[in-house]
Amino acid sequence: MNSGIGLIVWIIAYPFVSFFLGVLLGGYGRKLTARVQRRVGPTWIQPLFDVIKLMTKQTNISHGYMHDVAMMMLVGGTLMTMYFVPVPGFHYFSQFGDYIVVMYLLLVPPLGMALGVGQTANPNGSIGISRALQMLAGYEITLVMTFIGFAMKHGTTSMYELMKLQQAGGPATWGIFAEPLLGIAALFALQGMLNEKPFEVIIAPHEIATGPMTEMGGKYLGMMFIQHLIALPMELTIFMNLFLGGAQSWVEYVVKLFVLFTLVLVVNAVYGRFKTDGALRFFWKLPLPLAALGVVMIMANGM
Amino acid sequence: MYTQALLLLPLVGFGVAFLLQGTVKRSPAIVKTWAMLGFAAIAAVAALAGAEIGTLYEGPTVFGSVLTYGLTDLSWWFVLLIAGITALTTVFTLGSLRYADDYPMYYAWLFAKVFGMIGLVMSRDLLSFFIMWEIMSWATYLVMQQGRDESRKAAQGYLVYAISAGMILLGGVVFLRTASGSFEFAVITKFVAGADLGVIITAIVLVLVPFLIEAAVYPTHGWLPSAYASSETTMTAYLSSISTRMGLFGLILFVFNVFGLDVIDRIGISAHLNLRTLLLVLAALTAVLPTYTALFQHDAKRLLTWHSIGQGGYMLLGLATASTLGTAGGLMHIFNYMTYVALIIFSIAAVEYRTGTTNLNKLGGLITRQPVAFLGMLFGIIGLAGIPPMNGFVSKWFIYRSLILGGYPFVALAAFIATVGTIMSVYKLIHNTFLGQLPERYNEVREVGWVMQLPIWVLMAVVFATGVFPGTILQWIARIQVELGIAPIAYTLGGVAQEAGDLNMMVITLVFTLTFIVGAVIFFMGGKRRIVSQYDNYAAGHFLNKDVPYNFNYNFYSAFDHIFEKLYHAAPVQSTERNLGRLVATVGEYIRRFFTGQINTYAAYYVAAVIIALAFLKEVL
Amino acid sequence: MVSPMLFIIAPLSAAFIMILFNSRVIALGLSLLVPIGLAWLGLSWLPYTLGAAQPILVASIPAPLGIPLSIDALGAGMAILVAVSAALVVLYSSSYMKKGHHEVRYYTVVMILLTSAFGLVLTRDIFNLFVFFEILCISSYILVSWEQDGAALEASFKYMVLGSIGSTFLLVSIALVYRVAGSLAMADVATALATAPRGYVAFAAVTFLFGVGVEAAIFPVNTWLPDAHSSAPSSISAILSGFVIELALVVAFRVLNTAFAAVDTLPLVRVVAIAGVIVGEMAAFGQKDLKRMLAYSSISQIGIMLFAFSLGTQAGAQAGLQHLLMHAGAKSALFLIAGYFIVRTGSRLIADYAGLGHRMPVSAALFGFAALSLVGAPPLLGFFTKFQVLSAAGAAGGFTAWLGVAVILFGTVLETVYLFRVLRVLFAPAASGSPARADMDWPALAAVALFTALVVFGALLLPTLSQMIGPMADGLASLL
Repeated sequence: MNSGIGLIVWIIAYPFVSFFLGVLLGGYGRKLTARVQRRVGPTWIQPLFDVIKLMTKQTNISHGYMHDVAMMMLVGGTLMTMYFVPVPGFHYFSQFGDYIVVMYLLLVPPLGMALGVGQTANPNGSIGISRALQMLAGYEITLVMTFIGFAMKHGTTSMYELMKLQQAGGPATWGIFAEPLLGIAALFALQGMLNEKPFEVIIAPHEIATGPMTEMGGKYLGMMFIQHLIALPMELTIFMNLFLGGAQSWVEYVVKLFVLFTLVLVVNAVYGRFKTDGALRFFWKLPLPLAALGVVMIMANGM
Repeated sequence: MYTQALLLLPLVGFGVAFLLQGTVKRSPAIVKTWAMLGFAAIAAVAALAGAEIGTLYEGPTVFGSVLTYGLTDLSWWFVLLIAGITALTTVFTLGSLRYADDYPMYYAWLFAKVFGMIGLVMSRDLLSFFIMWEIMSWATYLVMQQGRDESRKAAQGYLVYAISAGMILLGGVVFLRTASGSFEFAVITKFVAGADLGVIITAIVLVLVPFLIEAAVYPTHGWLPSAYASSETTMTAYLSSISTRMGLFGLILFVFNVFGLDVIDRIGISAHLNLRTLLLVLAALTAVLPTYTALFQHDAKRLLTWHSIGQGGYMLLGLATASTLGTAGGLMHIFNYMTYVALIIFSIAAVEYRTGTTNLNKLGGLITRQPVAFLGMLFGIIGLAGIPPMNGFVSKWFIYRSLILGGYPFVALAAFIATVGTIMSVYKLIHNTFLGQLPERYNEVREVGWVMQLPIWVLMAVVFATGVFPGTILQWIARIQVELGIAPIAYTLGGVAQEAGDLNMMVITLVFTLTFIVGAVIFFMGGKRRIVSQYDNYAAGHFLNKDVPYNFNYNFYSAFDHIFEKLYHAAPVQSTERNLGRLVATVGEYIRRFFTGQINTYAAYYVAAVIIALAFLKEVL
Repeated sequence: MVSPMLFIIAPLSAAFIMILFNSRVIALGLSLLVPIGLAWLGLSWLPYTLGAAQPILVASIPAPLGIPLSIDALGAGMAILVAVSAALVVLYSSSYMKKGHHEVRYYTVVMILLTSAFGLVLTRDIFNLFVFFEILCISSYILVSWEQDGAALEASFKYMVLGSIGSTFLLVSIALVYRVAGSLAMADVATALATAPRGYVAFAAVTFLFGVGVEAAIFPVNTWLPDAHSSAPSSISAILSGFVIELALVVAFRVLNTAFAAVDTLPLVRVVAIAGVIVGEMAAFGQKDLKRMLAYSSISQIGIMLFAFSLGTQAGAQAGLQHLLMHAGAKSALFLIAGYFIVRTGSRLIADYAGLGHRMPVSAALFGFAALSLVGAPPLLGFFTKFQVLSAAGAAGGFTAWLGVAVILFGTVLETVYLFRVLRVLFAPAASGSPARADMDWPALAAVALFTALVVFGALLLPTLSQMIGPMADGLASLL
């Protein structure tokens, strides 16, 4: 899938595959959460129905061109990032950009959303964005610390190379086992990255009317859903590639995705919500020092 | 010939502008046109002067040694940056500057400053370097102190720092001259290589500290925010984009060329704990602390001036690694930052030109009124935040990569922390200016004229093009690296090719373009959309109209405010600065009391003086 | 060649003629013409003195009285400086001094002061030096008290008391010297002291230093200066700060360095100089009174010159003399401009000058340029002179020399801050509208502009100056 016709076919097919995986994961998430909370829950492909419904709405309210462009940036940016994250059998774009690139590409969709939300001129939306950006200082910094340690240890910043190294060394060299401190810190960061509880302050429906989504309706909300469904497997994959040795086959890949997501969901289902400053303080008190300690240990081993 | 012209043109420009501005106050168009043509000519000559790289020219003889000047790759690069940004600034001022009352000597001092800066980078011996350094500092002071009383006060603050820096440097010049017997760089290099450690440390401290002050490296940055923010807005753009970098120029010149890396690295405990480590730590602090201070600002200009400090930290981070990637990143970041900060501040100036304010709590929603300015700022902040595909990303990528692989994980983390802060504050900037609710009083605001739009468009093109094709810039950088004695970077048109992984901005941009089109297709597949008024909005059942402020911009990052409020208001550097000022004044007052005004004490001084002097002479005898 | 005796005779006779006619026009004319003539005279002697290896004996009463007057390059140079400064200050005074306020007497006293100044330059006899020194002091007392108000009278009184103590010291020193040498010609003194007991010589040298040092404003016997220089009319402040203290400094140092060469007083002088620099700048830093601030600045600038001399090297002496030239120009200009600020606002407090720069733009700009040169901003003259002082100190080496460099650099920072604080006030936004222009009157403006031009474009003179400065600096170490 990394050259010739296969590459082109895959490039065209990948978004659909990813979307399909996202629908499954999303549906699974809603089902699981419902079961934990002793509800029945919707069907497994409910997210697909949601998207179809929203995209076919007759009334679509816009607040201006930036609002429109933001939606394209949101979906486009997410798809772009997706191509740079290696999955089993596909790593063509990894050679043009390493994890640092991915780290920054990950910022494109939120930036697009932030600009669009800004133009909707709704304070709830702006508050949501403000919270989202502040949360970056919590989970994103933690995640980067873990990545820095890991990259330094192996002497490369390429996600594909890191993945290959772990696959060659077997499960003992997986990030989460070789460097448990970094792995645990990254798990916390993943929870924040996926906006799941207890780091769900950005959406916070009861406080700020779903924050960024307040003024979104019809196809606007639909595109936000699409983005979310594509981003979900991608973000899990990033964690997997860095700390679970990636995946060598699609079966392994899907299994790992679901196991990892289950972990996230279980935490999500039972926890309440941190306030923004509480969440930040939490990240700075526990996961970040853990990650820093991990890095110190790597440095100590290196000497 | 072009080299001489580069020095002569600003001088002529200064003379004419000085006379014109003194006499034709009421017809600014003449002066503006003169300045614009003058700086365009300088830019043109600067471009042509590339042919004369490596040739040395001799100036007047002072103190028995000939002042020499000439272009090197490094100095030509800086000359181009200076000339280019000055020309763009003056084009912008054609439309924006209402100088007659408040800024009577704007262009004259600007010419003087350009003379100082170009002279500085072309200096090829210590004495001319110092002379130009001082001319530049004084011209900067003169440029800043125009306008309101506030700017005069801030300029005074700058002057204290600048003159302190100048005097330390003068001490260094005297020291090096005395020790090596010459002003020539070559002689000094040879001397330093053979000198003992004490001499080297003295020389390095005396010479490098002034550059750190001028580059506003933590904790000597206290002068910058007020001084830049209270200047005229185009001048803020100018100062932020290039002026502060002169300190870095000095640093690069002396660390890599005059002293040499070998000498610098002799100072330290081990390979990982040396002078460069100290520089890295200072640079990391410079990147982080000012960036988060920016979050608290309510004025667009002031917010950006804090970033001028912070982004300077990135440049120093890259340079201090002294690796191929790091120095490439640092050098490139100088260019990148110059382009996008000028772009952002020009946009702010365009807003200020129409609304009369840069207060972030009062603006909002201007995207529909000033779309070009919005677009300019958007390109600028994407660059500043370092997000692909703008040029800011490329240099930051280099810097990160060099820090991570160079074994500085915590410095790299600091750099990333600063990036997060940057993203937060630039979003606040664009949100509070262009997004959110449009206040009723700005309903009639229009876009600025094409003269002012022109520099914005040009810079947008540059920020984007050099982001997609970083190779265009990297080819200069590689030449400079060779000159500095560093292995040149293996650049390609789209980025860099190397063992540890490539970067290809062209591919990234292409992918982004295509996926963006996919996004657009999805968007247009949905139903027709309708644009509604900003008052047609979710307000929990409440009705909105122009009398209902429905906006979130004050205290935008409330959690950060909540957590860091105390630290921010404690402002350790500023209060230390104030206390130092007070200390000098108090000590001065006590010393002044030596002059009691009483004749009897004075008479006693005579006796005391004679006795003490005799005692002193006894020692000598 | 016209005899250099004219340096003493001309101003003295001019003073008598003025009194005889008691006419403003004649007084003004004479006091303009005499210095200009003497400046020309000095210029005409300059080439000869530069060529001569020894000072040229001009007139002498033969031994045993032995009162030689002689001129050398340094003397000619100082004479030119004094004459030109005096001419410019008189030009300034013509519009600055209030009409009808005993103007003729004013010019008379200025002429007498000039007489003594030239006398100090020419004399090679210690007692003669004492006489001229006394004339200089007394005429200064009179001029300082010119305003006749409380502050001026008090300042003049203090000055007189302290000056008298200084004279007494000087006299003691002369007596001691005479006892050993039996002659007061400096050449004889030097020979005699070489064999005298060193403690004895040291005592004579120290009393001499602090005796003459009063007029030269050497730390710590300069306590009269802030009062006197700030209370005198600004033209007089310019004379006192511009060349009187410098002249006294050169004479004092020359005698100390030659006649008293038997003991090495240079380390002592150097310490005194460094202390003067720091004390002057620190005291000036907090001043709210413009002229007092400038006076304190003079103390520190004198310290810089003395420091350069005290290095004991040829380079140091040259640097000190060049700095002296710069300071004469810059400080005169600053005091003269300050004088008109006071005339326009009626106040000596800096705070009262807010927005004055809009009323007096040319004056304020000239103030700025003179200040720039004083703090040593390149490429103005001040930079080159200060740099030479510093590099001479570096070349001399040693702890006190480097300490002096550090102190001068630190002092420069302080000096910049307080001088440009004044400029900030001057150009503060005008209180109401655009006020009427009220620059200095043209004679005053012309005088100030010439002083400022000297310190701004003076660097262009440096190549010429550097050819002459060598013999002049030798003058600091030559006898006869």
